[in-house]
Amino acid sequence: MSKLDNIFKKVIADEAIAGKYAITPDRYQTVDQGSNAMNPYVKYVARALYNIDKEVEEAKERMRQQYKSEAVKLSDDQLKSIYKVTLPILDDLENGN
Amino acid sequence: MVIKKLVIKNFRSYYGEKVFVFDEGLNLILGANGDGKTTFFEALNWVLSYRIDADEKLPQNESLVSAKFFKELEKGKKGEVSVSLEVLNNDSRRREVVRTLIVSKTEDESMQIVSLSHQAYLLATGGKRTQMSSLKELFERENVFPSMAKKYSVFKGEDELNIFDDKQTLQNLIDLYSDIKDMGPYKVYAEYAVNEYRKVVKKFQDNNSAKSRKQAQLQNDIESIKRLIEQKEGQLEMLQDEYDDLCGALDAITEDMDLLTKVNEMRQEVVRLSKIEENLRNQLNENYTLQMLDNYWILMGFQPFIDEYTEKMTAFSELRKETEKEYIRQQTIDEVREEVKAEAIEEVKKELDVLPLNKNEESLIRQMMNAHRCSICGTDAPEGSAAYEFMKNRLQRAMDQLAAMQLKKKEEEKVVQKLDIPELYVANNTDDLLLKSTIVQHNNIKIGNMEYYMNKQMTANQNIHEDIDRTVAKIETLEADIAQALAQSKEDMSEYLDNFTAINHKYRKKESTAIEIEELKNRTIPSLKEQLDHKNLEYKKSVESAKGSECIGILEYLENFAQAIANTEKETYFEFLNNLAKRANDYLNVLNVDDFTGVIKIDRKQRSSKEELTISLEDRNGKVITNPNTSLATTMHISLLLAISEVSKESGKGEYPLIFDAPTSSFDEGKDRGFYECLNTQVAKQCIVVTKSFLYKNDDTGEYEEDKNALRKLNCPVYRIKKLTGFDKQDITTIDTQVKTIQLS
Repeated sequence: MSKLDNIFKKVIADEAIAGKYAITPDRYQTVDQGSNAMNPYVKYVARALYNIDKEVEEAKERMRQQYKSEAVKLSDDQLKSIYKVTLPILDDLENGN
Repeated sequence: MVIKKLVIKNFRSYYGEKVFVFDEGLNLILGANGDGKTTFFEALNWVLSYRIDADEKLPQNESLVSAKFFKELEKGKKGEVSVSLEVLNNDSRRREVVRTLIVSKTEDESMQIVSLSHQAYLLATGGKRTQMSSLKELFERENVFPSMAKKYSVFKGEDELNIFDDKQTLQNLIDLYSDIKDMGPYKVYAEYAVNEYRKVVKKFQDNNSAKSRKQAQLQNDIESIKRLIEQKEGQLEMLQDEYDDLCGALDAITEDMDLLTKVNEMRQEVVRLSKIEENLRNQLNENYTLQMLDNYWILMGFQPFIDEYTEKMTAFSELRKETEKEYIRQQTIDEVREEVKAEAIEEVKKELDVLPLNKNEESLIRQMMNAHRCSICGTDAPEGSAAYEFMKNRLQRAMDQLAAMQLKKKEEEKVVQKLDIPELYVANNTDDLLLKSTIVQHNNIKIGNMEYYMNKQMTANQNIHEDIDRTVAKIETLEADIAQALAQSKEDMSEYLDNFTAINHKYRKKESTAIEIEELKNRTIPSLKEQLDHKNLEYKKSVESAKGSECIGILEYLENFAQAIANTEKETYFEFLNNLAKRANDYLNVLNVDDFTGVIKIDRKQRSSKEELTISLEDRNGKVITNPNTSLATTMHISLLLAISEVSKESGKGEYPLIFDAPTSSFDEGKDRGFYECLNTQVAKQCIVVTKSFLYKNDDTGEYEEDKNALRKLNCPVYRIKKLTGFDKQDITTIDTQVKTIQLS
């Protein structure tokens, strides 16, 4: 299980998500499973984490090429891009579905 | 990552080429003082240092050159000084890093540095060596001793082992090896999404003017409560700092404060009782001998004599008085009376003529007698006649009458005069004796009371003695209790007891601060947060009614997502700390050869707006061991280092060996060997240790020799480094460190 999967499991199992949105965390073991879930709450977590991780890993790789090892900071553009990609997952909620 | 081989060539005391081949477990390099242990360590450090850190002190290049090698170098010729390290990287691929110094000897025999190089190589099977693009590629990209990891893997001496003296160390480790740092972007995104969606919600709010005033008011309320919370949290932080400072000051005695208070009370009671004892001793009056002498006690047996003496003296006195009285009476009455009588008669006779009393009668009688005729009756009265005799008798009677009167008067006068009669007893001996008798009698009363007084005094003294004994017994009991109480504490309490007032003040302050913190943390701030939640809810309801529940539902979800990310970060953080502590404790249990092991605790403390991590050793009851002995402290630090290395491996940051120079110098003889046996058998980790353990001095030769029997128990490579014998102590060019393989694994 990857580090990302671990984080995903912890987030969906957290009281703030699992407790409030009646999620059974054991049903979702990986980000991949979460990304394909019908439950928009789970799906949003999985997709958001996946997209963030993707940006971070790319940034890390760029830094590795430059022999840098400091913490990754996402730019506003990167954040906006992830926000725009992931927010539509919650549209169903807005539409009352 | 594993170090396979180290080749040191003409480096300081290492003349020529010296080779060390290492195993994956424990590797020992033994050497006595001055044999080149530190130089070995420096050589390793030199080849691994590719970036000069501010705090890294490397020797000047010239000083690295073997004096013997340079002496033998011919003029105009070049020679090589190098250290080469062969490793297996984290993907088990062979790599080599070589640091070389080319020097030449000039005509005037001075040294010239011709070139310096520091290169990394890929080693292929068959011995083919390909240069890597840069050292960074090896050190940073392949994670072979990256600069940060090197700080936690190479240690010179025991003191350097406590890397946690630097408060930032643990945080660096967390940043390096935990997933906490990776949580940063998730957290940033979650907050970004919440803020972005709030803007969406606000747009709806702006379109709903009817609700705007109420919402504005609610917003104001929310901001006020937030400010108040911030203020209270700031206050809490200040109090927490103050509390931590007080805890730091009282750290060593917090557990013993009750004991300290009790002991202090007992000590005060001892002082009070000592004063009572002193007072009682002052009340004691046992100077019986002199006192009894002062009080005529010696006369106690002479009571009958004194009584008899007094009786006699009284009798004598009375007798004397009587005698004197009689004497005076005789003198004043009998004697004087005769004398006075005669004188009186004479005087009366003389004075008869002049006596005023009956003057006329006397004159008349005398005239009539002289005239021999009674002028009263006119009768003649010749001498011898009855008339004459009548007149004569009449005159005699008158004279007698007068004389009697005069005599009485004279007697009285004489008696008065005779009061000056000389005393019968001129010496007053009787009076003196009587006075003494009175005094003795008076003293006799005292003597009579003497027994009572003596008994009273002795009883009083006895009572005082009993009081003193009771007081002393209490003092002794208290002192025994104090000693027993102090023995319960591992700390030396005497200094704290001497400063008890100040400490007690701090302790009370700490308690009151803890109450204030408790109040703020558990009541004031939660209550404000509850108010804030209530206002937020009210605000959301207001917005909800203006915009619609779907929109609010999304905002709520995004907020919950942000909360879940924050919680996950915290959880990850604690998992890492617990994992590190658990592993360190596992190693500590294995490595510690002491009776007492303790438990390594890693705690977080909030100090001045930033979190500080602390590492301590506690006993099973949670009592902090403030001053563990050096060997226990060293074992604890090595356990932590092994744990760090392990988490580094798990985090995918690569494994690295631990290299120690004299880590067990404070260990007792035998204890260090036990430690290395555990390290060899219980720890699956490459450790290269330079030490003088396992060496003993041969009394016959004066040389240090290896304890081969003890070393055989260790299934690990052991090298002996030793200066070539016969060197000249005054000539550095004769120094040559020899390397001998004692055993291979």
